[in-house]
Amino acid sequence: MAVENNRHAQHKIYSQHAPKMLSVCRQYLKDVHQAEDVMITAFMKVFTGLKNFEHKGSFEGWIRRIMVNECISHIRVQKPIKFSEEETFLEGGFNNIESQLSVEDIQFLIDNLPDGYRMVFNLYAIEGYKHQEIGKMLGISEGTSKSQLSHARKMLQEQINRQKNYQNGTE
Amino acid sequence: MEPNKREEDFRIKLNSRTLQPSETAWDRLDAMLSVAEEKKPKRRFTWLYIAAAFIGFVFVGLFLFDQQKNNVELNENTTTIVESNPVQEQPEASAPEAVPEKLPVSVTPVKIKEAVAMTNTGKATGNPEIRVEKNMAKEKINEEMIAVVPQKSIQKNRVAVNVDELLAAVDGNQSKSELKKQNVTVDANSLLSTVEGELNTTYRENTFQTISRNFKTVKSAVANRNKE
Repeated sequence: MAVENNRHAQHKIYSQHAPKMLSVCRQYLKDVHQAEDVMITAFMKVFTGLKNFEHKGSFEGWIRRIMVNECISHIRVQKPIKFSEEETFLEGGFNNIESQLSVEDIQFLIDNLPDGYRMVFNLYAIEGYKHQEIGKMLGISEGTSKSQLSHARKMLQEQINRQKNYQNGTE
Repeated sequence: MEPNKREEDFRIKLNSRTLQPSETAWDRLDAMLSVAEEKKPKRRFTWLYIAAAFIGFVFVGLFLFDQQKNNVELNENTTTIVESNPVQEQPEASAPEAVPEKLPVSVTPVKIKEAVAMTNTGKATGNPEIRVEKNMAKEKINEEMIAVVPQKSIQKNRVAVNVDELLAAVDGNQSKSELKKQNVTVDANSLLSTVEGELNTTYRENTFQTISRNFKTVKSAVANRNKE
């Protein structure tokens, strides 16, 4: 029904998926209003391209992919992202800390990452894409994607350590 | 580089999170969808216009192409006509000359008869004016004979004048019968007076025509000789 531009059906889909999709958009964009704008634009694409949905995967996964792509293109339009081409990356790290971070803390940590790091970290660690796929999506090499991820991890680890030290100092 | 425990924790927590969009978000999306739906039919119409214009251009192109083809065919025909014209044009060009030239020839026997008739009547009456007329008639006959000579020579040169000759002969026969009938009905004196007037005019005209014609033939002959 939503394919035939039935507004009631479209609203139903929107109200079912919008809260989760706004969260996805928020992972990539620091400003929640900006994230909402991008989400609306992505929903437009969802409804206009609904007849192209091939029913192969889950409907939510299809919408989510549209949201992620819309966020990436929005960030890339806003300002060109500079990915450092150095392909040396650190293994491990960021693993040996007991996880008591709230989702707001996690979002805060991710928000503090530069755009390039944040995108690669989200795509790899949260969305589950491979480095090859990330490279194609962002127009970078697989090695660059790996190096971006290692830098993101290192930066997150530093932030967590700093936060931990701050908490220990205050206690 | 596999996702570690912390990243797994991040993923679970972030995926389970929901953020309620603002109340105006759906209204904005609704407005955008409405605008997009309004634009869609226009796009369809534009495609229709484009298709119609394309079909129109194709038809115009075909029409012009056909016209060009016809023109080419016509040109081909005209060229063939031009090629065949030198043979056919000769009788056409000579036809208007042949008709007036032939007509007096066909008329001369009648006029001779008239002159003979006039001489007969002149003998009967013994009028000296009729003798003058007789002389005039004789002169005219001689002139017409002179005029016939070049006609014959021209006719020998021409190949396809048969139709015109036949028409002229038929006209001559018709005029003969008409004149014969007129001879029967018309008064001799009135006929003589009319012939007198006609002779003066036709004599001048004929002499002028023959002179001009002979001049033309001589001129063309000289020109042809020069060319040869």
